[in-house]
Amino acid sequence: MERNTVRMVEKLQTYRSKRAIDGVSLRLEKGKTSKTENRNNNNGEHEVQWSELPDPALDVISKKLSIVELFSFGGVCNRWRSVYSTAKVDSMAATQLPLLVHSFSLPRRTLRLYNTDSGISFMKRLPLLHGRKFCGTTGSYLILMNKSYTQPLLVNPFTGHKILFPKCYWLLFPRLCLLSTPSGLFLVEMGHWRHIIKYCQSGGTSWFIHVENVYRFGFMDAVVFKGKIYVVSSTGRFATLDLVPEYKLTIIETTDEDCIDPGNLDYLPYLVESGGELLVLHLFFDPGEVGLICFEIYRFDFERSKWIEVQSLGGRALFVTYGGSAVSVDPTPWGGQGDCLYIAGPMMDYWSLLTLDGKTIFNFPVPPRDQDFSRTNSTHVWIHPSL
Amino acid sequence: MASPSHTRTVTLKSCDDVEFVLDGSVATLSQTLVSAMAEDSSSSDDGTFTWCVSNITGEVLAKVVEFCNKHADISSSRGEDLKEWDKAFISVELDLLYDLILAADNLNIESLLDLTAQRVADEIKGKMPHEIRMLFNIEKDFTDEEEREIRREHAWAYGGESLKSFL
Repeated sequence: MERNTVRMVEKLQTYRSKRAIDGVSLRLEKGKTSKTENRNNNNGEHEVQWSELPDPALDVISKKLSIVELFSFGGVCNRWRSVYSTAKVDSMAATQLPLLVHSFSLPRRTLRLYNTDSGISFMKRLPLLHGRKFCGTTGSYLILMNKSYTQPLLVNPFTGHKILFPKCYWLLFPRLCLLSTPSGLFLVEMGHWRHIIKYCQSGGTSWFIHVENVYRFGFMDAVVFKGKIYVVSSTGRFATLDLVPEYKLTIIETTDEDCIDPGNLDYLPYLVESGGELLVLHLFFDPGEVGLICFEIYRFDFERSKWIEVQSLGGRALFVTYGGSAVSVDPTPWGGQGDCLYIAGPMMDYWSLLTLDGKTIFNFPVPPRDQDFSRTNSTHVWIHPSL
Repeated sequence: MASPSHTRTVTLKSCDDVEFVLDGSVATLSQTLVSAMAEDSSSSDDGTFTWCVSNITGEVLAKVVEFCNKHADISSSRGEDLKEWDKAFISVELDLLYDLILAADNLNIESLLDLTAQRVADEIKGKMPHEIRMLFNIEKDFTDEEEREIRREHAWAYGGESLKSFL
């Protein structure tokens, strides 16, 4: 475990040491370049214009570069830069590495995404930020609200896809989940400590509001598992939620006792689909106090209707946005550590890596924001380019 | 009936009038030739097809033909051997590499485009933008504003102190 930390830290610092090597290659290449130039002068029959390579060629080249190399590629000239912008997005999506929404600048209408693995940040121009507030993420979408917090606009910054939902008179707690089910795409507002649920179908014209009569059923999190929506309550109760043809909440009676103290407001359950299992993550956490985290993960045994504690995620990792959602990711494409929790949150100026087995915790600082960039209660949350 | 591209021979003519005769099966590596032959199938009686490549010299075309012959020859095109052969083939000067990329693009030969792109990517690896520009003799054409934007974007990647040398 110790060795893994060292490896992570080393990885984050590789780029600095890499520069020293670049210095050497620069001197070598200088000699090479002058030779090339001489050749050009002697043999001026045809013009070699590397900046004007055909699009398909630049496209194939960019696909062969790592994300760090892509940065250099995009800094060469305008033409290469135009190819780089698209390639960068593809490359990010391909590694499936969740990024941290770091900060944004309203005047510049720009969003900054931070790659916690390489320590590199990306700027993303987002004209839609104008007149809107950034209120968090759901999967690969940013949630932007109008100034009165009545109308959500979901934007995927990687593909540019947007979904505008109708106005709702009241979206007080904008903890919104985009749920993709076989019967449609739904935006669902979690009431958290209130027993009210609001939902709207993508392409629909109105919101539906439901007051749940089951005592103290405050909606904390929702997830789609095998085509069905599952929700978990503030007391750890567990239910399926049907939205079509009509609203229906069905409590799943479990054979174990509710192990959660309902009076504990620091308790946040997260529902996650991970490797074919439905998991619940119970996280007790004080974001103000670094390192104070306690968690348990259970998988639901549908046959026995029982939660069973798990000690391993089968190599997968859970990316948890504190107070938001948790997503299970395979860390192998980018060489990340599995069987871990990666926790970030709006109130945190660091992100934490927790191992499942040793329950060891490492905290990594999130770089400070730039002068004209803002951090709000909604930043420092994970966004998932691959979802 | 067999596809016409397999039964015919193809004559490739460079911009400086050097001619190369290719077997029809070899020519199928080029999507450009495949489409051209398909359109021209009406006049296939004599079994030959001539295609002029406007912007490629005989010297470059000779390399392209060498590549296609090797890659179309299934008996010798096996795994590691072919990789070694490709590696030797693509160890050329940058000017010729550039022409090969244009030829691969023009004739739409996917495997050649891939190989040439890999060579360019290998050249780019581990270099800063100004080093890449120097290597490929590319002019920096960013406005001050664009340059500021790029520097800002790279600020964290390379640490504040090296920003000046990044571009």
